[in-house]
Amino acid sequence: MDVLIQIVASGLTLGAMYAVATIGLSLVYGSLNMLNMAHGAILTLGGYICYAAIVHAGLHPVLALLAAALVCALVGLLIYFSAALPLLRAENFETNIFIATIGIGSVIENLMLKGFGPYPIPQPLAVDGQVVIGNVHIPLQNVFILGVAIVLMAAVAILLQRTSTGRAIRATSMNREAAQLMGVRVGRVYAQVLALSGALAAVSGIMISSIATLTPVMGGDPMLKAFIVCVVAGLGNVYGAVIAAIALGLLEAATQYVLGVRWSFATLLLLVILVLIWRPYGLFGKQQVVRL
Amino acid sequence: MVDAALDIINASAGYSGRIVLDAIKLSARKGELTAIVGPNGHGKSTLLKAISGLVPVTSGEIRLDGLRIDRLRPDQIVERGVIQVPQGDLLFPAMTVHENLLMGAYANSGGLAERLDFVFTLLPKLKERRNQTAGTLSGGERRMCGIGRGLMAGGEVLMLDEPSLGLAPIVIEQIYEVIFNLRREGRTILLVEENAERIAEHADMIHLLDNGRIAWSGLGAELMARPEIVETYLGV
Amino acid sequence: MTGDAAATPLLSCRHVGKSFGALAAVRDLSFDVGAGEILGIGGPNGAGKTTLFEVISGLNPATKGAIVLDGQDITGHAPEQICHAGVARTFQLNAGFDSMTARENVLVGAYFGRTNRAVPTLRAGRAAHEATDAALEMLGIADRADKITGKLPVLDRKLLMMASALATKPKLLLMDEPVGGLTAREVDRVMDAVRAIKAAGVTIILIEHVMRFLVRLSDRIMIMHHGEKIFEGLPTKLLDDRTVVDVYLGQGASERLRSFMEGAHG
Repeated sequence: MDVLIQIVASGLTLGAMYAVATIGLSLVYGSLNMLNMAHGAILTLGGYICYAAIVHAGLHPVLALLAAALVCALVGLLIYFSAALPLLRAENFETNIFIATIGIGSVIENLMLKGFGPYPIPQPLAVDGQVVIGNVHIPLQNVFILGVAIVLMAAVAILLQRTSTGRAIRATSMNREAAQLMGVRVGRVYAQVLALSGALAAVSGIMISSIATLTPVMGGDPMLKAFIVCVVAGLGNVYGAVIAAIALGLLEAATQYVLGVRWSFATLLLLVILVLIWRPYGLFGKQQVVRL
Repeated sequence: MVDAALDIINASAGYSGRIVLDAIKLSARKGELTAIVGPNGHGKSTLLKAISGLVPVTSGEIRLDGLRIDRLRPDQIVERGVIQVPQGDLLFPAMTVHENLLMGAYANSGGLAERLDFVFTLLPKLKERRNQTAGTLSGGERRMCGIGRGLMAGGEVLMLDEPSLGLAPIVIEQIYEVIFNLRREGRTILLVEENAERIAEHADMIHLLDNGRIAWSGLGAELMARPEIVETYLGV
Repeated sequence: MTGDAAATPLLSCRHVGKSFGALAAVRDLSFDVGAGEILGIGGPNGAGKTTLFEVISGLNPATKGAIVLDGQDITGHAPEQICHAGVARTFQLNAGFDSMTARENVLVGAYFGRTNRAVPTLRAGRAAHEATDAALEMLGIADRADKITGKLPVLDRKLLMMASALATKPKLLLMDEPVGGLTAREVDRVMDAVRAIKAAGVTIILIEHVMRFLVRLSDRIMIMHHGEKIFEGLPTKLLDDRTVVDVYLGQGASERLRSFMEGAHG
């Protein structure tokens, strides 16, 4: 029973972090048809900005978090204006932007390497203490992460469902031309989505580095997992991505316990392959028969 | 002299190197019903897309109330009151009928409740299915939803691309009733129709689009009185 | 052509129902289609016409009732089985493999649509190619057979859909709004094609709103409304039915139809 609680607690935390990392990626793919390969680097950047804000600028942790989110939102905008906008006008957008964002991610990563050095740095934004359930000690940090993730996801959900900005984003993802005919300024939607995605990535990066440590290359693994979650959920399905992220987190925690850390990723991938064989468009993907 | 609401002045348009429309010259006059007829695949839909800013105009101009709109973004054109009900399934499939209709009013949300009421009264099937996702509607119902969504936008110029496609005869009558009512209230209507006969007696002006060019322009009665034109281009 | 169904109908639907949760798209529908006849189906939008086709062709099985094709119960069978049993279908929207040539599209129907292939071969056999050529010939698009489907004009794509369906050597062809958006001359072309298909011995059920097409071609007409049958009978009797005029045709269309039919028979 204790083991179960431990696994669930770890799993939910992992899932929460993946969920926040994935929402942005999913939104960007859904509305722009764009796989943002710089996502991992932005995630890492968020962690470092937060660190720098607390340690070098002496900011309060909450302000530091906000600063990181803001900077990364701006990076998202930068990606829109420098890469997405010009490439949208040409053919083969999907391939080109994929390659372009790999480049951008690489630049960001190397800037951090130059600026902060290659050695792992502890993330100062952490909460001390523990919660005790039964015989299990759960770090308060995990609870905190879960709380932040839930708040963020609720905020995104409200944004998407209740605001006109959100409706414009959803409309653009469903049918860009129709959205334009409704008077949606599609370029602005793209910029908003990339900015939002950047901000969410920053928070995710801060959370992940608070449990592990900050290194310039830490973004690769979460980004890969975020992609996997997106694909399993069905590319572009934001709500499905959240569910899949949590499921993946729980799965990872369980396999880490049962098989050991070094097998968990492989097992995960194996499960993903099986899921995709069963449902090629993802669990919640657009695989219904089109009404002809 | 009635002013032109929409002026297309020697405009050509096309996709990636291929010219679809060639030096089109026509006007949709304020408060009138202008019909574009002609065989399939000859540019009728492209014309509406060019006006809406979805297809680039490669030469010539398009003016609304005298001001150029051909270099504007699609959303700017919608803001200026040029609304299109496109052909084909351009609904938002994961949104309900209700949400789709709300999206229609995105650029112009004043008087939302009345407009929604109006659309539901005109198209009661939509009211029945208001909470159903648009992707699950039948073909004709999707058409109705598209038209309802266009009506939600208000605006000065309403362009419809084959509104009667796939609709039951009685609904076609009702839709045309609405279109004629809108005209009576002063709306400028630009209609692309396959069925020239139906529209001939009601349109203020008809333009025949053949192979990307205006082959003939005139009044409906004139068109019907020229069987050779009707035969050649419309195959009636 | 007489209006009565043949002694043993080719298709028999008995109390067929299809519900999506609480929504009954088709309810308690019973009708027969005789071998070699053309049954036309009309009705308001959302009446359940396409759903009925989905049920018969197996894409969306019935929740109630039975469907019997040529003595064989096909209710709830898989779509491929129903296709092999002899049911083919064309769709409202142009459904074709856009990047393949017209000939290749029809070949898919000829190859997969007639027999069950447990072990697929690497090349389509001679029989499949012959069936493909015959179908293209009958629909009059043999000269365009090597064009890419995505580039064909609307009329040709519709004829191509019909050719693909024909290549499966069906007993029953379901046609869903085949002439929407076509000019009058194009509609005539499709009418000729349908007549040729009928002459080849295929039984046809067609859905259409273009009344002159429906009325000219159908031996009998059925009108659906809210998932039920509200009229079944000869085309000439259509205008006498008050309900049909009120819920489907409307006054204007009825009058036009009446003069059209009188002109045709007078």
